[in-house]
Amino acid sequence: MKFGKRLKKQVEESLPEWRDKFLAYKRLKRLVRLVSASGSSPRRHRGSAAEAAFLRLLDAEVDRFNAFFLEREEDFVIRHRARSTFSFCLHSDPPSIRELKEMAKKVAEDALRRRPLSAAETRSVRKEIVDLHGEMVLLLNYSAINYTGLAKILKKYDKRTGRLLRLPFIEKVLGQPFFATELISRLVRECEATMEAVFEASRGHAGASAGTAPVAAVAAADQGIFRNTVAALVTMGELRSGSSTYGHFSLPPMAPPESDLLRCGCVQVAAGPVSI
Amino acid sequence: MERLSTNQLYKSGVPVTIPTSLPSIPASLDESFPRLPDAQSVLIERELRSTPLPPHQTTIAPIRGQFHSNTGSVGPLCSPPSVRFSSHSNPDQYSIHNPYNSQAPSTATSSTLNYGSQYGGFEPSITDFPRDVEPTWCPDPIESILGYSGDVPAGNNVTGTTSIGASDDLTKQTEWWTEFMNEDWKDMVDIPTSTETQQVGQPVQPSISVHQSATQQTVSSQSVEPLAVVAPSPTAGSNTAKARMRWTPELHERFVDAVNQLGGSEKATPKGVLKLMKADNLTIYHVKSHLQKYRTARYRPELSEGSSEKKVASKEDIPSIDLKGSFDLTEALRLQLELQKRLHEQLEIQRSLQLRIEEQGKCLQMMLEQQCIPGTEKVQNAKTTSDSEIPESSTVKDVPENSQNGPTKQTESTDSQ
Repeated sequence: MKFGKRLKKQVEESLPEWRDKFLAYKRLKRLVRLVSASGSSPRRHRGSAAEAAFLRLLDAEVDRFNAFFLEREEDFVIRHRARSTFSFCLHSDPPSIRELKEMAKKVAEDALRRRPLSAAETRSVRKEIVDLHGEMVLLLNYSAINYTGLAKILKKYDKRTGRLLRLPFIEKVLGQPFFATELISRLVRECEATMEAVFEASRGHAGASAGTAPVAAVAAADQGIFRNTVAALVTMGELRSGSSTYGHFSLPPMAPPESDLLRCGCVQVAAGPVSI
Repeated sequence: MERLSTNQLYKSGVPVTIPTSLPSIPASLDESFPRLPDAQSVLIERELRSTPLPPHQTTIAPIRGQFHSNTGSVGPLCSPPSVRFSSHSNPDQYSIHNPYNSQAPSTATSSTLNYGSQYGGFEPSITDFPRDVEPTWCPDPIESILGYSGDVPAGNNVTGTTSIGASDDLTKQTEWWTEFMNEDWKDMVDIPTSTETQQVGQPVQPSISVHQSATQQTVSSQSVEPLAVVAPSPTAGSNTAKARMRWTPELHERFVDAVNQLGGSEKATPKGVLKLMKADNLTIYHVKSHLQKYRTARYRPELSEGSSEKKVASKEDIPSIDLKGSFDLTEALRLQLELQKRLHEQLEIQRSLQLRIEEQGKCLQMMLEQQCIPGTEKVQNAKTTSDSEIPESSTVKDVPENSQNGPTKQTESTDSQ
């Protein structure tokens, strides 16, 4: 029940178009409840029907995850590459010769981008990269949450029916595209590297800036991703705070999140949307 | 006649579980998954193909209403089978073929069995459906479908009906079904009334139809006159080709090169790009959809550039505030990025832990199978207690232990296989 509620909360906080792409945990749970414990014959018909539906739904869900994941991944690949053409333009320092050459190569495809970016454009591009980073991480979170949900529901099923569905099914899931998140992870790290360089450079220039005081006005402008990230971290912390049915398949409790960072984030979210 | 054989089947006391025998079954059970757009519509549609008969139009209609699908992605999921549980069909098709890149229908069918074969592990425990039953299914698939179409899972027939006529069976099944519906399933059924029928009529695609233990579907897919009511989809032929493509950055780079060679995203045509790319497993549909996405992605940044230019123009007179704004923005962005990085970190940790846990679970399982029971219980308890400590260090400790036993056991078991 706890997971179901947490999942629901996470879904609510997620980006709108993602909301119906998560695991149908509640439905699956209901089906498991309908499934007869092995050996009780009067309920056998319904039980077996529920079982069939359960197995079907499981597969359908996996397919759904794969479809959504691959589609998002494709989108990210496109956007990431498009953004990386700007990455050289983001540096405040003059780019090196090598960088210039690479920049010229990548920029050559579109005459429009040959001109240097204005301050506002730089801002918006930076924001886009951070947002792209955020979305990708949220996709990873999506994958993780669905995996967790599947594992849990399979455990329930095995418990109820005494069958051994969990292991082979989970193994299959491990091989699914939606769980093979290495590519997205790599893109995320590349984004991080890009932004690190930007922040390094800007730190030099900015000097004494506004400090780490919550700048609600600006950050809250993208409520969706930011909010979702905060929610994801909080949910993960809760989910991993120790389980009642601890077994050798359970995850250990998560290290407590840096409270100030998270608090900062929560303040931002609570501050409400303010336009730039 | 078919019903007779199925009744015999039931009388023989074989527990009939839907998954193995009647994948086509509860198309109406599929009603309980109304909001799953892509995979489900393909699933349902395939179910529907096996339920072609007019008497069941009434039930088909609401199902049809569910086929509100995103046209683009129905096809790709064609390869994932509706029958996942057909371990009885061609167990030798244990291919590791990845269904998501397959193009040809033949590979689609084999990949479906890949799914089915995955369940080989638990199939026997779910049902001991004797294999010799299979031949009895083949002869009259249509009649069997009449018996099982749309409404009632096979379980219904376990009530031991002998040679009942079609109408009787039907009424019994509808009775059973209404009764069934009155249970908690009711709230799971929510049938949208959208009449998106485009994707439904994929009727005459014997190549698409999944080869299952009951070959009913292959045969039934030919008898689709009633389904013709559901507007035959123009994209019927494309379904086989729309397996999910995984766009890697390298592939995308080749795509971009090809597009640039052709003069830019506006000028490039899918056909041209496809030819230039010379990639296997890539169909024109993949390229088309990818090109569309590419164009949108390129268009948006240009839009934002345009609008931000205007912003700059308006802010030119207050440069100081603008500067401050960019500092603030940087800080905010940094904060956002930090948070996201942290989430990413945690996700990575969680993922590697999960993988490791599954690995150890597998080793454990294997050990359980090899050892006698008292010994295994001890092992299990040891594992649990060690996990309740600081997991990282203890798992590190355990891994060498397990790996000593594990691999040897593994090699033993593989040898014996």
